[in-house]
Amino acid sequence: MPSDNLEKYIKEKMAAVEHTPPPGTTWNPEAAWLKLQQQPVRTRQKRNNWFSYAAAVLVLALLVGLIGLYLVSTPPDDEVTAATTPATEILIPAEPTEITAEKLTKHQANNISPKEKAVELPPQLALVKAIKRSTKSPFLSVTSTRKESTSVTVPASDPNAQSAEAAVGSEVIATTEEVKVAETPAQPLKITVVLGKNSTAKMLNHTADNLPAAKRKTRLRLNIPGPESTDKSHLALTDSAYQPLKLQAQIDL
Amino acid sequence: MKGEKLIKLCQQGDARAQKCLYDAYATPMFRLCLRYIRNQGEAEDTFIKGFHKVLANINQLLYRDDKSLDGWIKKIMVNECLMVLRKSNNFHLTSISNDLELPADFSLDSNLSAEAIYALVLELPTGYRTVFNLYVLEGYSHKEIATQLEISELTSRSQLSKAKAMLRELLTKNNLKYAI
Repeated sequence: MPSDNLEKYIKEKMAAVEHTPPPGTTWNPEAAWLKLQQQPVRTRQKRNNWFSYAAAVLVLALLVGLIGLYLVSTPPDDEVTAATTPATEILIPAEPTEITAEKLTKHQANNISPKEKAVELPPQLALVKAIKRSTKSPFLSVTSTRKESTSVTVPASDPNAQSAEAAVGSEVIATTEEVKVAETPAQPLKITVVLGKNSTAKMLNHTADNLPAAKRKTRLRLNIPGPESTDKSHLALTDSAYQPLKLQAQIDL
Repeated sequence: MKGEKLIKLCQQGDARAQKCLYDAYATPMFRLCLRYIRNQGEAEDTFIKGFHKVLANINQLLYRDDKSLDGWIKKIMVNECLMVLRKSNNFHLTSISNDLELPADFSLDSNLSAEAIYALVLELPTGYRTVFNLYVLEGYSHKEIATQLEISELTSRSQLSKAKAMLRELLTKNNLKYAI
């Protein structure tokens, strides 16, 4: 039997007995009606939308009010600005003065150990020693570094101190130069110039037509030592430094 | 009294109109509930809950004709039955592995009464019966059944196929019995 026929058959049979109470059951519609009446039937009415909107607005206003209150009641954070103020004072570079040298001598004199005090060096030599010590010590506070940097300016009236300082200074410069040269060795400049037949003819005092075929083109190779920058510790990085050398090579040809 | 006027009166809260509506639909809807829920007591409770919903939500009904009214009430009742079934049954676990032999010599000229066929439908296992009721008698699609029962469409098709096979077997057996 086809499936559709079975479905149709059963559907028809079910529809036929739809309005008769099912046999073998104690179905009583009136009893069920009484039970149904005991439950109060509440017909659903359409809710007024204004109430939900009003509630939403009220909640929103409450939230905004609470946030505003929180923001107003929070104290401003002044402590941070107070903490940063002294830092600007530290960053101000100290100007070199002649008085600082005298102050430094006093200051360094205070730091000299009892053994050194016993020797009683003259003030100029003490200053030179102090400078040496300050350059060697790896850990120095900001204030002490500043003071020792200002100590470079020494009154011109003290030739001994000047010479001593210059000696120390030259020592320092020499070491830095050694380091820099080792890091970036100066390379000689290699220039290759290819001359055409007119230039070659001009150079050899020939006419261009009479020039032998082997000398139609002349290749010149020049080795020029690398230029140094003005501070004598860095090589020049731009081509502008090589321009005079190029011009010179052209003129030589 | 049936039709638009009856519904209008029900919407106005008229008790007599409500009773009229109840009388018209009580027995068919109870039968419908009994088809899904075999237990009479549970079926009756489900019917009462369902009809209560009908009366409570009758304001939402847009009456067009008696057929639309029938369909609307039936839908509420079916949903109510499915709610009860979902609580007590897991449609995924319903056995569908029993392969039934289909009798080839079944004829429609059986002496089976409608009540006997109704009883045979009630004999089907819950999963088969539910899918059979929804698909054959209520006209739901497999997609709708899958959504309602929270199963896959494939399961729905499979259960319907098994339900039909089982029903054929039952019909054949009873046909012979009734014929005797």
